[in-house]
Amino acid sequence: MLGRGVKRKRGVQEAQPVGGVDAADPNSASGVSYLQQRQLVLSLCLDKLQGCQIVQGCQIRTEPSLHRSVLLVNTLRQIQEEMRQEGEESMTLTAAAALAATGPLPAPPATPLPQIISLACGAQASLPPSPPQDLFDLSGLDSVSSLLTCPGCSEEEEEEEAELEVSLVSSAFASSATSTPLLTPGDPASSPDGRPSHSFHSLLGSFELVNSPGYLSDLALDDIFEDIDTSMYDASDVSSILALGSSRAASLASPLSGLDDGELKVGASCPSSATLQLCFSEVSDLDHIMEVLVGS
Amino acid sequence: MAGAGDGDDEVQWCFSQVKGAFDDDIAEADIISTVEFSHSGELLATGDKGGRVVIFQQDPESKSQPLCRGQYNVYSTFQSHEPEFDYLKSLEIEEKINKIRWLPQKNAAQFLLSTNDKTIKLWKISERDKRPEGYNLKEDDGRYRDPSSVTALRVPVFQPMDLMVEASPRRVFANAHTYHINSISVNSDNETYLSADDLRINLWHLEITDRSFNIVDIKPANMEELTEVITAAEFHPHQCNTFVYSSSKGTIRLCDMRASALCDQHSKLFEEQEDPSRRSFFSEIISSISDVKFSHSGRYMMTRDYLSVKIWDLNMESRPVETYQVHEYLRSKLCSLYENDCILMRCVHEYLRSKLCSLYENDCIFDKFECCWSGDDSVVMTGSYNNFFRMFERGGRQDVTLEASREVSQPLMVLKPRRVCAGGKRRKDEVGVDSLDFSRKILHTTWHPHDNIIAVATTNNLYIFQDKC
Repeated sequence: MLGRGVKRKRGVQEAQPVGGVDAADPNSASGVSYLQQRQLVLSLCLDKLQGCQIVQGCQIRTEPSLHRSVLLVNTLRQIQEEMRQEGEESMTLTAAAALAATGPLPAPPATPLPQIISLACGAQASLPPSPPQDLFDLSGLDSVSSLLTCPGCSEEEEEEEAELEVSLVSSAFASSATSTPLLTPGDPASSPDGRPSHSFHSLLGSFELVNSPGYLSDLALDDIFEDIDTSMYDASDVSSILALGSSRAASLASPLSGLDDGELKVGASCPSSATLQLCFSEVSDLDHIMEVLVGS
Repeated sequence: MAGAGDGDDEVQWCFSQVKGAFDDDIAEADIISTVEFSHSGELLATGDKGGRVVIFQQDPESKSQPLCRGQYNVYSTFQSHEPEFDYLKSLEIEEKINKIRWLPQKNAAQFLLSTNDKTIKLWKISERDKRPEGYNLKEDDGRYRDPSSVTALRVPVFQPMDLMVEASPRRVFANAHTYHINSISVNSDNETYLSADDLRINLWHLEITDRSFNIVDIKPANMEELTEVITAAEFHPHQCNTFVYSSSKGTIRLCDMRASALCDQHSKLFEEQEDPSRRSFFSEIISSISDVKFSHSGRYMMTRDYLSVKIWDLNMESRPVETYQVHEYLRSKLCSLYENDCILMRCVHEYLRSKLCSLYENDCIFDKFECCWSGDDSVVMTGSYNNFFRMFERGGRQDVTLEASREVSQPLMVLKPRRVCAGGKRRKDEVGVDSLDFSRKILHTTWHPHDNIIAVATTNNLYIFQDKC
């Protein structure tokens, strides 16, 4: 499996000896194909987890399968863990850390940048019939970059009704010489955050059925934000994000007060689009890197 | 079993019947979601995505039949579950019948349990072939007579009438499951049964609908720590205190209800150590157990994961005693089976949004195949893709791949063994792996409890095969 959009020719496949070097075989001796497959599986995982939202956008409103979600999340965690370990290893190997994103990747090991997006599997209220377009721009691997934009934020007027929220978790694992952690504008030398991502809580949390009617009143606003990983941001950026986020939380709390799932936590934590634009001025760099990765 | 007509005591499977239309355009409501023979084998029940249950009854044997066994004909059809709406979560609850389990027959009526994602119902199926006539206060059509017009008394008598089969819901067991019910299993005590969802197992009494006991709960306090779900559960066929449940990580836990009220601590844990050389991104997904079934004897149990069927001896927890590969040739295709729907989703999203729902359900690697034992526990059977199904003789002696297809739909036609070519030169009659149709899959199969009759469900057709006699 060389990558999406690239079909293996049937003749090539049949010519390969059984048990020989096979791009689809994860135990293949070739490191490049393993990493490419891992990247593919990673993006597939994200697509599938996000797929719940697409399907719900088409008004199929049954609850997504918990079994399937757990398996996908476990696969993501496994890949995440692997990448984190590789990141730590390469950190110790290359003392002088990151350069800005430059040209084509050299030979392996190339560690792609997983922007693990935490997805709220929109389990509650009715969904807007036409979801914001940019969330579902899934053409090629650029999908990962387009997923970075929060849909609820880009349409300010729909904020209060936008139950599909994407909260970005900044787990950047890469610090190899060839790539830049994209969530640190102007700080390429920062070390990657080794903590496992808390990105899945909102997905699995959406399956939580909270029974107590006093849930919202028990909820401290600070709790909503305590799992946002802000180590990648400067202190000044952090305060501005949180200020905007909490004001949104306040405005969101009232219309959604009838619902008491974990969704609210995630929804409220999404900062405004302006702030996101500020943080993700490197998005175009990500596009460039992704294109390079796909091409190699 | 490898070749037709090998030995005298080889079983040769013949086509017997097929139910359902052969349309190319399949209505989603007609997709069969469960199949189950009754304890005597006389009745065969199917459930579909539209929430309907169809019961077939076997005709009594007669010498005039071309096949030595009676045919199955429609006995009763009823709407078991309706779609519902969960107002708390603003989600639809599908009416699809996930499982049907028959109760052992105690009197003239038949009882079965049917379940969708949230609610279990006990249905009574009874026959009526007599009708009382000659009431004094009522006309025969039901209208009441004026008492003053009655001048003489008569004794009402039963008169024969055309057979009518009535299905009536006797119990509704609702509101006990937060997650989707995947299994129900009737206890050997004939008084209780269990229902299992992704995180919990409840014990019910058949007479009591307003409460159930929770006997297994694997929900973590913090949902973000969730890594494993329950995929199937079953009571032991003879020991009313014993049940097993399987998980998405490929483990099976056997629990004894005498040990404690909450069976979170297992009595036995069955798990096979993974071969580290075969580890891949999909290892966990394909190790997820989709079905677990005790043998009729109660000594063994069978589990089905994505690529294989394993037979476990209840006395040995460390590894299965037998493992059969169902479609090992798919191992190298796991990535594409995982990817299968994503590319489609992307294309279709641009043009045909409305079809996304059915394609979304198409990720093959998450398909849940069931498995079943023959009546004497000597053969096990499970489904595969391309409308193939596989039978394995115990003791690893022989196995065969058969196909449920329109081409073999004349009575007495013998099913020819099929072969899949995994690589290399493809022989005549073999099917190449890349030619397999992954949209035609056999997930549900059931074996007659006493006889060599099997029922195999393709997407919307029910095939009944029997051995040549």
